[in-house]
Amino acid sequence: MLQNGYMVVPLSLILLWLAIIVIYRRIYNRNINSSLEGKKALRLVDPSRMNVISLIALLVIFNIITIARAKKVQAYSHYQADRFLAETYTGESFEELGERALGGLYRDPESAGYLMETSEQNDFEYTVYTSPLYNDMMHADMIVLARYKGERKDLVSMYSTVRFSRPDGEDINLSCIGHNPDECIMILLSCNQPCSVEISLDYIDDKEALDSIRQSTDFSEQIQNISKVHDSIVLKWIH
Amino acid sequence: MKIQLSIPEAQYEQVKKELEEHGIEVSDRAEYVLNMRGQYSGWLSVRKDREQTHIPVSSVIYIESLGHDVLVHTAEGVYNSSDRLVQLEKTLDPALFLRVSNSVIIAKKHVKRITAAFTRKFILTMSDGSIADVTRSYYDIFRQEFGI
Repeated sequence: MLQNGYMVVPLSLILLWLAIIVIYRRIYNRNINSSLEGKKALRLVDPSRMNVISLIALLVIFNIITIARAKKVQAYSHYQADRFLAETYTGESFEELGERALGGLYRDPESAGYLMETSEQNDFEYTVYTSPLYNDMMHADMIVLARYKGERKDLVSMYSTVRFSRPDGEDINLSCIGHNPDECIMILLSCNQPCSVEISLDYIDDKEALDSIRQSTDFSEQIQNISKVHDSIVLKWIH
Repeated sequence: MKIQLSIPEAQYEQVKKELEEHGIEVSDRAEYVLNMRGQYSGWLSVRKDREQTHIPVSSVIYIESLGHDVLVHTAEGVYNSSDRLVQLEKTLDPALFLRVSNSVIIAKKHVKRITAAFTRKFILTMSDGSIADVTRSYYDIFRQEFGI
């Protein structure tokens, strides 16, 4: 709680208020007892009233501090962090993927307002859902479902590579994940700036070759060199 | 017949002389007390162990009402008074005594310490160590009387 820092000010003010109460009571008691010793006592505000006055004063101070802090935060309102989402799920069928992805949120993307487009190329079937409605952190901008429909059964591994690039070609984000080659794949994609995403699917049949490149720094490049089945699609965002 | 006099010093000797001329003995241990009209009583009629007596008000630390009993606390002990607190409040000199709650009258000179509570209340420590509370209803009067 204190690590974030946002509770430091209110806790400090509470402690300050308690200290004011205690100290004022001591001063007040000392003053009123001086009248018993024959000295003239000052007419001080009684402690119960001082409790309320000091509490109101500290609340005003807290509000001033909060307003000052809020103004400082607003100065950064034009700043927006880059937002990318590339969440990958695999399953035996598209139906299973819909149930698993984000707690079933994409069970039926069409009924959630997504536009569907299907295509086939190079033994792969693709279904792409695009959202014309949502522009928030909760819903993916695009959902890509891919399935290998080819005849090869000797494949030992499958890797999906998702590469975000700016319009000028500069890479923004790259991720490469391994999967079971027999399964379908679902990728949830989001981006908050103009860019394109290339999804590459690589199927490998040589386990030894795969093991030899596991530790390499350009793994995603090496995978494409040893893959026996390869395909990719490119999708674009225009904001 | 014996009478105790509770009158100003200036008139004491004269009244005593006149009473004795009429065969009335003036004694501090008398059963009856003669007060001057318009003057606050210097003595209190009290009981202890079923024995009636009079005590000087200067020895009273505080008077407390507990149920049907009115207890007069002094340094020498606790006595019972047959008067109600309301009556005592009228007979006692307000310059010397102050009512601080519905059930307590204190002698001002016997207040040893005043402590302010968190609410509008004072806690008084009397000279015999007893504690008396100044309740909310008497809070402002108390402050006024003690100049605080």
